[in-house]
Amino acid sequence: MNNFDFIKNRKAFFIIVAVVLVIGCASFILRGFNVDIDFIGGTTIQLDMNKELNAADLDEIKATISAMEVGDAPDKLYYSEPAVEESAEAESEAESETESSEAQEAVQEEADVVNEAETAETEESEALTEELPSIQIKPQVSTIQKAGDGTQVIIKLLEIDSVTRDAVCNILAAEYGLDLTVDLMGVTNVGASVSADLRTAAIIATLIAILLMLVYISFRFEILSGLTAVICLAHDIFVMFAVYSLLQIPLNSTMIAALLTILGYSINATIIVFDRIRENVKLNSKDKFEENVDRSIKQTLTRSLNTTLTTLFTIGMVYILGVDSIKQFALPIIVGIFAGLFSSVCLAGNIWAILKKAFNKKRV
Amino acid sequence: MKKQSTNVIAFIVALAVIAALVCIAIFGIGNMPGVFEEGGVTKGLDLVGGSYIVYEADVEGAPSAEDMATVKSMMRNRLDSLGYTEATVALSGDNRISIEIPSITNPEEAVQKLGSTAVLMFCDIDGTVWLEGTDIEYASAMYGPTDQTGISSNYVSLKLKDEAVSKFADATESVSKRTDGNNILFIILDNEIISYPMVDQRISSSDVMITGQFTPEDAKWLADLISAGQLPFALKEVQLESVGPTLGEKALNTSLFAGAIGLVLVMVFMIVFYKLPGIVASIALIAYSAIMGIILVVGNSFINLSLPGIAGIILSIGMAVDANVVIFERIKEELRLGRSVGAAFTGGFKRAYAAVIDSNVTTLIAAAVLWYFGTGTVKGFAITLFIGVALSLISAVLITRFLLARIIGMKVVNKKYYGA
Repeated sequence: MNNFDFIKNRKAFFIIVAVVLVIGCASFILRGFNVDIDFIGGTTIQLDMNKELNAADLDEIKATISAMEVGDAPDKLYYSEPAVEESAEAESEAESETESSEAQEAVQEEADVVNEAETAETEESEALTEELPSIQIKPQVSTIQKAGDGTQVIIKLLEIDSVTRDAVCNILAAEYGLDLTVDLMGVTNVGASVSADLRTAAIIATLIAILLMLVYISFRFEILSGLTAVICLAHDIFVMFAVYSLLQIPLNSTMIAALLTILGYSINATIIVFDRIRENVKLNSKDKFEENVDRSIKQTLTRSLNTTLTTLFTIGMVYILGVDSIKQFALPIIVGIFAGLFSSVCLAGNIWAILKKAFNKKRV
Repeated sequence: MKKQSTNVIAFIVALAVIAALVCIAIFGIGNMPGVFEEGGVTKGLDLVGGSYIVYEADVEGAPSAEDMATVKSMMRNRLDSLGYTEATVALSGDNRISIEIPSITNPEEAVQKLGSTAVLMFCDIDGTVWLEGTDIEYASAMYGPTDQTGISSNYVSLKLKDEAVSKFADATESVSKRTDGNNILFIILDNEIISYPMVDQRISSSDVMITGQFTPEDAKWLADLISAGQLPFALKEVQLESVGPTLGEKALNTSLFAGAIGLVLVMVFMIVFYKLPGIVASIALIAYSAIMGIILVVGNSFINLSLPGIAGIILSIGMAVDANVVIFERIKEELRLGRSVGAAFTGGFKRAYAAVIDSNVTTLIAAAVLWYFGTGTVKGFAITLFIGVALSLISAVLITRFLLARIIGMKVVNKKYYGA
């Protein structure tokens, strides 16, 4: 590695960046993004279907939901708890019939005072007390995919209200013999006003974080190094977005967390290199800036690789062992760590040198 | 010789302190529970299962602060009434209210019940409103016979305010004069008919009962709802995040396991690569983990450990050794230049400081911004990442430095042990 010249091989690095740019842009155009409901609003329902699912099963579930019409309702509620309650209720009824006749009398009085004709109610009361949720808004499935160990399904829909969600879950439970108490893994709903707010907060947070980091770098080093850092960050952000697009990872609020972590991490690595360059320029002021850059990159290379490795050990374990939602968080971070390593080692020093040359020439 | 023995004592004391920290973190001390014990770390809803519900005031313009405060206290009562005593309520922004309910199996029921405006109306068949919620003094759930058949059932008994008794008398008089089939008084709650008794005579009484086939829970809920009165405005559910308990439990176990393995891998790597300093760094890492655990328990009122939060801690374990790596690389370089272990140690630390601090500040900036702007789980991640990075600076720089200085003071100065 000591014979490798990071300055002379500049072209190779830029070719790699160009290739990544082309692949990324192609993916943006061809595949687009899997924008999660965080940012566009909508509903997701995650159910454990208790059997290995294949593509046909998913299509069938989707068809079942698409067939639901406004007014449809399940024949009963598929939570195991209400069943328990019913029997408890029956017991309490039986008990109270034998107990406390005085209480009954007291109540009787009251009943007499308000002489409401309850008889008329009995025939209609069945419909009245039937509190089964019915479909209020026709559900429209946008995507449906497997999750967990392959027996779970995540159904993404356009936003539907609480009663409709309840109805959809219960109708599916009736169809597939589910007990919602245990098989309903999760429900998420994001309304339009909230998704707009989350979107704004995400953009503002990213911009402010980048701005603050740049101010810090410019303050600690020089304005050109700040500019270099911007370019490296742009590279890292691009790679992250490319990964989200290529792998169709849901783009949501946690993506911002992953993105900012990588930005902080990548700048961290860049600063280690810049710090060394600053030191070497002082020590070997007669040497060309490029020579000092190459020297600094080599001196900090072991650190860059080792830190990347230790971070990969931990976040890699999270990816390998974690549940779905955390895998979707860990994978972009892993890719981002590599992107950050590449940009801080191969790009940062070179770009700084190029910028320095360009600006110094102008001044002369 | 004397100096050597003080170093040995200091080193042993330091190790004992770290061991004590580990014990405190795991088993707790005094009133403070351990990390894994009940009441130790506050776990997020994504780990224990539960629902996060956000309602928005369904009004034109911004609702007044007093109204929002009223909604908040009424929501608290409703949660208690439903038995969700562990739930928390908070106002967010100027028109939203967020509720967190741990361990709940039927989120939609909660969404619908909590979000009801509780507008109560007594109407006739033409839709004329005779009585409203404000006419009710209080309501209570009852059990007993509600008609001449004597069969007992659950019902809700309403006590009218004095001034409303005549209103009710007028209402029943008007309704009872209608033809059969039209002489119905509708009791409507939030646009839903909850009872529609036939009325055949004028009733002048302050007691009214609402019947229907209620379960005891339903009757109690309805009574509490009516007693508390209606909300100042309607609420619209704008966000729901609900995680089943099984998913949460699995997420917690796998993440902890991943963290443990990651920690061991990092330690093994550091020891293989940096020898003696690597061992010291591993000890510092153990201290780091213990202090992190203690912080999570002590600060459990404001640190909510979510799944991304655990990822943040695990990630910061990987990053924590970065400062060590930077410093140890520097020491190795100094050794290669032919310096003694003592000189390399002093020089290495001195030269690495600027880089270590500069580089960590940027991650702290990122975490702080996320902390400020993030919501829910993202905030959880930001908090643990911030604490993790800040803490890693202390453990990597101060603890490692102290221990290494003691080891060098013990005259363990063979360069081989330092990876040169």
